[in-house]
Amino acid sequence: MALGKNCRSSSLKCSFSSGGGGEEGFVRALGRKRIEIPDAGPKTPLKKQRSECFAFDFDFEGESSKLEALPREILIKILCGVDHEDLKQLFSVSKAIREATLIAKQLHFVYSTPRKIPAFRTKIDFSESNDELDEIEAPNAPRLHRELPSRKKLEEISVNLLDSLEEGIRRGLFMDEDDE
Amino acid sequence: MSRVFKLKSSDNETFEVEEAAALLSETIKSSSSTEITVPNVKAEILGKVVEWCNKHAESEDTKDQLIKEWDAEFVSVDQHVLFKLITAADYLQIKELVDQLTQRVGDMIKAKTLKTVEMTYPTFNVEREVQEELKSLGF
Repeated sequence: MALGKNCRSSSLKCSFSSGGGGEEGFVRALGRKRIEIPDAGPKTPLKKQRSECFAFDFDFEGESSKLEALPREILIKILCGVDHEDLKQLFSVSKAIREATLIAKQLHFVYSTPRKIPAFRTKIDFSESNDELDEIEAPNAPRLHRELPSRKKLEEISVNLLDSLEEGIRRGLFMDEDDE
Repeated sequence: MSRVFKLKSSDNETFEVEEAAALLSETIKSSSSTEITVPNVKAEILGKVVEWCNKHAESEDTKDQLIKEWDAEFVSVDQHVLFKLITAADYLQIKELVDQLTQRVGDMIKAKTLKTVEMTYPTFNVEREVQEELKSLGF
């Protein structure tokens, strides 16, 4: 489900022009990825859908660095090293990054808390700081008082996320080896 | 006598690596052959990874200040090189290198010096997505 228009289509024809860009702009294939470069000329039929296409700011050796292009476990690992405040700016970048950010937040919590996290309905230790307790709840989690109609859909989504999580844990990506 | 490993880049360049350095890679460690082709990684990048391995194989004490400085220097590359290095180190499963590289990316995010395409042009509208999710859950 595409929410916004983006230029990441793999069905663009590949026409390469070197130096200065031709009248139509060009698309360069990077393996399977195609990235469109804006043109200065008139809109072509190919570009009709992408009229708001944008200028890429990267060193055009042909590849742009994309967080999303990294393996999921790596992305999560990167985000684990980023503070809460800075994670916020990534929240609304793309769906994949948002999911990874959420996982990183959860992990941050799991690995930095020495004690076991109590379940909601058991006794809560109020002598500890309450900030962490606020964080137990996933942000924006809807309060559900009845069975979810699309449980299967949720399961599909969470299986995907959990797979990445498991893979990362299995590979020891989230382990902190240094104890200073 | 230590074995010599041959690492081949995607653009067909071969790097000879001594055993101690090569075995820093889990992938190589668990490979039955001493000739390994690293797909999707060009010589420029593979060369750097080999350089890192060589450096770390010769210095046993990785907490050594000099090595730390060397490492810091090593990861201070252009971000697109950084990302390519991550891909390579990940494929080769060189944990410490992956750690250092990802740490660097995290630092760049914190310093707001990381500029990726998605960050410059976000495509994702959080609110709208959340609304739609809630709707599909019957709210």
